[in-house]
Amino acid sequence: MTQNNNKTCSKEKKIANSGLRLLEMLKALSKGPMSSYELLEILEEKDQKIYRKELITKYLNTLKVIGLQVSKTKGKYFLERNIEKTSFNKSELSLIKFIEKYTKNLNLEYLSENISIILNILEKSFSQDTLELISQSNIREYRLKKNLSLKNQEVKKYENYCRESLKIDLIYKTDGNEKTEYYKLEPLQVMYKNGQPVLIAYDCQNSTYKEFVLKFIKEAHQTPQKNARNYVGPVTFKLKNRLAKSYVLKQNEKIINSGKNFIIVSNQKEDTQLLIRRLSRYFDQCEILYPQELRQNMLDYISEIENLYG
Amino acid sequence: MNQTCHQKNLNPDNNISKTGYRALFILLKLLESPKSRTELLEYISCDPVIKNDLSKDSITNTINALKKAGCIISRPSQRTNNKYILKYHPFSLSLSKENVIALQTIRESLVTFGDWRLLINLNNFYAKIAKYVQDSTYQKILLYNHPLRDINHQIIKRLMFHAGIKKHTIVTYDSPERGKEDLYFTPEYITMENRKLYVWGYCKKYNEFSYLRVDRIKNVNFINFLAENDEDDEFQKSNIIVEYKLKGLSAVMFQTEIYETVLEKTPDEEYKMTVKAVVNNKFNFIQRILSFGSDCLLLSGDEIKNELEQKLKAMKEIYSHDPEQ
Repeated sequence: MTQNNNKTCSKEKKIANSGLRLLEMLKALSKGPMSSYELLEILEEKDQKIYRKELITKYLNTLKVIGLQVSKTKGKYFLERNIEKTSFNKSELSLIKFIEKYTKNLNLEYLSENISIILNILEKSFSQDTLELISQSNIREYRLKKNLSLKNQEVKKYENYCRESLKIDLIYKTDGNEKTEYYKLEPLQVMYKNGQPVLIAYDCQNSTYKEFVLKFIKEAHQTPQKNARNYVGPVTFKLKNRLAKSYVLKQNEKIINSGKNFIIVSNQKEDTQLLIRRLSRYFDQCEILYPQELRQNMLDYISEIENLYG
Repeated sequence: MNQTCHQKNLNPDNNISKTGYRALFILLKLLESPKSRTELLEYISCDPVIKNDLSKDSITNTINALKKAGCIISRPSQRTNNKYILKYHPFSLSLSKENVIALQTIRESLVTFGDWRLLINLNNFYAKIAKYVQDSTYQKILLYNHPLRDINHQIIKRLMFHAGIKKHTIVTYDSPERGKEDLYFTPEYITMENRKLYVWGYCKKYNEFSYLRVDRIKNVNFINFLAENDEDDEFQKSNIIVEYKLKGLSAVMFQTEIYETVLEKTPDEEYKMTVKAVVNNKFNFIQRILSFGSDCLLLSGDEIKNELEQKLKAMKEIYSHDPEQ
């Protein structure tokens, strides 16, 4: 976009150069805090000239005089308010509050850092009427019907496990109560499902992907063994008739074959137990093709339900 | 704006760049709204800082400087009512790629709650702040990367309106099997499941309470010929009351559907809760029961149990031979 403008401008030639330098400085400040030295360097590089440092003071004064508030912290200047303003209504402000609290509850470090930056930019961009709305009314955050129940330190712990890519030994309350099972896992990702933090990991002993609700993990210990990343191949299943036409692929799925009344789907990295539960909803319109072990798991799943009423 | 001229140590006649001030002045005026050359001159002539420093080329030179700095400003013409229109500028604080990924992560985690109203509000909010993203690929993530992108909001509004007043409608439904067809449908409520939006209600064609995928609904029209409501009366009688118990993780992660109530919680027993369901769509309810696996025990509803057993038999049958490719 800028290139096109340059072409246009070069034909007309007449440019307010001092104005252009100030605009370049404003552009630099809009990217983030800058020291006067950094600002001077940007201008000198653009113009291939040497400027005195007083030029920056002069331009900063100009910004202030026109009403663009510039502050200084730790030797760097930054814009107090965004030049591009937006009006937000009560419901949007309530959503902003919700996002702030929700992120805080999630307690994922990279999310908190980014959301804090985003909210800071949005606050700097509030229009005058939005600022008045905030000062005049009591904005309440949007309330979720289902509350989040988290152990903050636990989430951080598993986030670190995933980052460090070392295998973990884990004891899991399989029924959410007393019954426990031991797993050797390669931790992959912490996610939230229905407001619950969940660890997604590769089960080294059973060669499957599994999800673990953090609050049901009884114990977990990191081992010195590196993640092998030697994961199993995909699960394939066939969907028939109407379902084949209406099925919406998940992010981890692709169609590998299709016919008039069927599609064959390849699924990667889904907890196989949860996958069986999900596919069971499609009754006899769905058939797991591969691996054989998962076909057997589906048969066991069906038999266990049958036995309840047999 | 001029109040700032009186701030301490900021004498507008000393140590400021008047050319720079003029560039900012015009930028801020164009940010407010498109302005003609005459309007800009008028504004400048009223400004105490630059009113006396105006040559005949001032506006052109300043507009050129703005363009060179990266602004896209359309030329004044008859089409623009002889006004300069600022279409883009590079001076706004902006959201980074990492910021967008964080927002998207939050949206993805909220999708799992199934709160479709929240998701619609969030999508609208993200669309509003997308202008703060300079990278067009990431801007598109905020604008379009959500499960409701193919849904017409007017359709949702109409469905909710008719559900609120319990009115009958004709919906044009794009069925994957039969193509577009008009269905007599009385919407009752909307749910979100597996990243898709469904409207539930009475469907005359199937004479049962059923659901339609909202993204397949192309039109909703109000009708009033079913005023006597005979079909609805009959349909009300077809509800089946079922009770079931849950154990294991299914009990822990349980979320009630709109037609369900938790009758009893028994945390110290093997089965942690008893749920009552008013089943108006057997197919959907059996799907739900199957997804709980052996964590769920049906206590009543023989009709449902029989159908469940038949479904299980049919499922077992397809696994009794080698896989069909």
